[in-house]
Amino acid sequence: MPVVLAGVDELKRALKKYAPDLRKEMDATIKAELKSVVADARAKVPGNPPGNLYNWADNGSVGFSRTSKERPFPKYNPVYVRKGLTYRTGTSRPNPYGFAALFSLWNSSAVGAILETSGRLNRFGKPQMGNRGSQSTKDFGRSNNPDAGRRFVGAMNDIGALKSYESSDAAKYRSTGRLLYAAYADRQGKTLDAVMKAINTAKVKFDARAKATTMKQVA
Amino acid sequence: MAAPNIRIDIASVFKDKGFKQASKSSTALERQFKSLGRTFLTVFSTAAIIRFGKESAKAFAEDEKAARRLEQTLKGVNLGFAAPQVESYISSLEKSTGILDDDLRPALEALVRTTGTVTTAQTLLSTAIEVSAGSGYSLVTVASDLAKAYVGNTRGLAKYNTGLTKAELQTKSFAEIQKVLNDQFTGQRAAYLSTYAGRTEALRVAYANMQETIGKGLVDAFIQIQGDNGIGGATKAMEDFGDTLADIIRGLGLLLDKTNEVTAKGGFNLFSLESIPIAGSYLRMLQKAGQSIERLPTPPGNRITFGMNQAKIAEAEKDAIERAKAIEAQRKKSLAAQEKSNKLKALAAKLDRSAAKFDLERIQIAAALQGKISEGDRIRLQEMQTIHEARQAIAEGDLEASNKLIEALEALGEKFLAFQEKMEKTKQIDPFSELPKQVEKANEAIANLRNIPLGSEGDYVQLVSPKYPNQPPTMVTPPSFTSPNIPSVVPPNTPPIVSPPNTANPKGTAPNVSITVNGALDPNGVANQINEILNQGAATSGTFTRIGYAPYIAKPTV
Repeated sequence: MPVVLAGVDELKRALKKYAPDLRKEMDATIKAELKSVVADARAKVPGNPPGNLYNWADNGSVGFSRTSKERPFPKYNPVYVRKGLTYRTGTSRPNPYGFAALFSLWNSSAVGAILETSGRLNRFGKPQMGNRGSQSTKDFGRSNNPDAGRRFVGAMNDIGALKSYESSDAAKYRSTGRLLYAAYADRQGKTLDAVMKAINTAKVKFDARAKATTMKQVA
Repeated sequence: MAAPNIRIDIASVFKDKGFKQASKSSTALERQFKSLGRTFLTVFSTAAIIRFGKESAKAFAEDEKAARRLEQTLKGVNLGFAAPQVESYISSLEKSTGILDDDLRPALEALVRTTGTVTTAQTLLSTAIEVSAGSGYSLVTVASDLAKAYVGNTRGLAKYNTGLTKAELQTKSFAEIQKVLNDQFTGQRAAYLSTYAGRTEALRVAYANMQETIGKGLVDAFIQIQGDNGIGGATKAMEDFGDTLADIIRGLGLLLDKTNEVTAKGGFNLFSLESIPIAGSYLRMLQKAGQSIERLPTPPGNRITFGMNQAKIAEAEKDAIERAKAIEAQRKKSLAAQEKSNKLKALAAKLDRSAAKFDLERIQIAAALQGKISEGDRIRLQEMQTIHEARQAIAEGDLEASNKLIEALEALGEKFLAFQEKMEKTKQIDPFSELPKQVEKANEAIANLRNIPLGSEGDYVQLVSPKYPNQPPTMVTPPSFTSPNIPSVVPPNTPPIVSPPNTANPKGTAPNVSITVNGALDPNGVANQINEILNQGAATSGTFTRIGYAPYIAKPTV
């Protein structure tokens, strides 16, 4: 769960209006921290498809899908994956529950999402029907290549093990990944601390500056 | 399938702006609903309940009044004992036919008043209901017409298009007419009740009855509550009760809302008094007490037992049958008298036709037409004859002949006008059209000549010109003859028309007379007439020897 702050928007507006230098300093500090996380995540992206899945590599051909009409299974291109690993410091739109993100890290490419999350639900691929029935279900597949899932997840594990930055069981699943999530988890909360410290520093400095101005005016 | 949102939100902020707006809107909406609810309850609860209560009480009062009026009518025909049975009959009839008792009572009242028996009135009321449904006329109107027809006045039945002529309605007995009506209209009410309009009307009747029942209960209750304070106190109590009841209904609405699920799941009737543990028994007691003080209808004054009623009814039926027989006998007697009168009228008409042969005026006209008369006179005589014949036909009531004769009369009038025009044209081109005037003028001159006295010597003639009457008379004094006061037909300064007397025979010789006649005329005819007159004069006075300067000389034939 993200940390919920109050008054950061007002602080950012006040900084921008009355202390732009403090606003720049705060943003730079936060961006540097976020950039380091993103850099760590990008460093995890291999140049070739993991597990020597060379047929997955993007060689310029346009693939097709036998199961989806929207788009084919994306080809592996490390450039796009790295490009999709990024950060945002602008306040997002509130979600249906009213919460808006102040600072966030993103893995926005399709292949990046596959690298990030494959195997976090079934560590050895989707279970197969075997002799349990004749048709596939939501929980069990009936593939002609039943070992493919296990081998694909195993290939992804060449990037690194799945890591979660949340400790609670309830939030563990959705905070588990190999690239961004793992890089954030490797920091062990230092990123959050750095962000909070930058905000607090800006606030303290702004408050100090405001008091000094008031005292000067009184004097 | 959208790509999964792989992101980490490091810090977030809670933005409640949207929530505040939603909450504000929701609160406003709730406030509006509450306001609307209050308005609805205010408008449709208290006022509506009070109004409904008043209307119900009024409906009950009118219903009771109509029932009392019918009861009085029954008493008036010695059938007052049958009032309860009649009320029961009307109540059942109202349910089966879907007609309000407000209409049934006056209809039955009219029939009972006429027939004098409830049984016959009920039968006729059934017929009236069918006829009313079939013809569209109101039940009261149909019942009134049937009541009149029962006593012989069948004029009102013509409008129902039974197919009977006016004469048939007058000659047929009421039983026969009733049979015709039954044959034609039976089943109309049942067919009407099967329609949507009929079912709606039945619902209206049920609603009216419900209103009357509620009104009766309200009146009973408020009179019970107010006791001696009269209707004013009852009205005040009703209004107070309306307010209270409105509040109770609001509370009941709330109770229903909360207990709806319990009732549905529990499978029992929550609103049965038995379902209420303690208060139910008290409410049950109140219900019984209310039933005990229900104001029953005031019994008629001469309410009698069922057995006695049967005897009375039989007696009344007997009287009614006798009365019906008397009415039928009277109708037949009246019909026979009417028939006799018609026969006498027919005979009188025949006699008139025979007497017409001896009408002197007509005889004269017929005789004149036989003679030698001009065409114009013939036409006028034919007109007179046609006028007489048309009068005769009208008197006999022969419409067809009258029309034909009037047409013939008009044709004769046109014929006479054409004849007159023709004669007028003929007159304009007749050269002798002025002859009668000239003859008259000649006769006048001759008459003057008759007055000429035989002259003698020394007489004189005074000539006066009618052409110049304002000039003094020219006196011509012949040397040996003058004649006074002889008018002249010649202008002055003309030679004397009288020649000197014959001196050889002064006493017996007439003077010479010159006669000038102007204009175109028959000179021979004039001359003949002059000669005739002069000859008469010559026979008594002498002879003419010369006649003036006229181009034609009349000479005496004798």
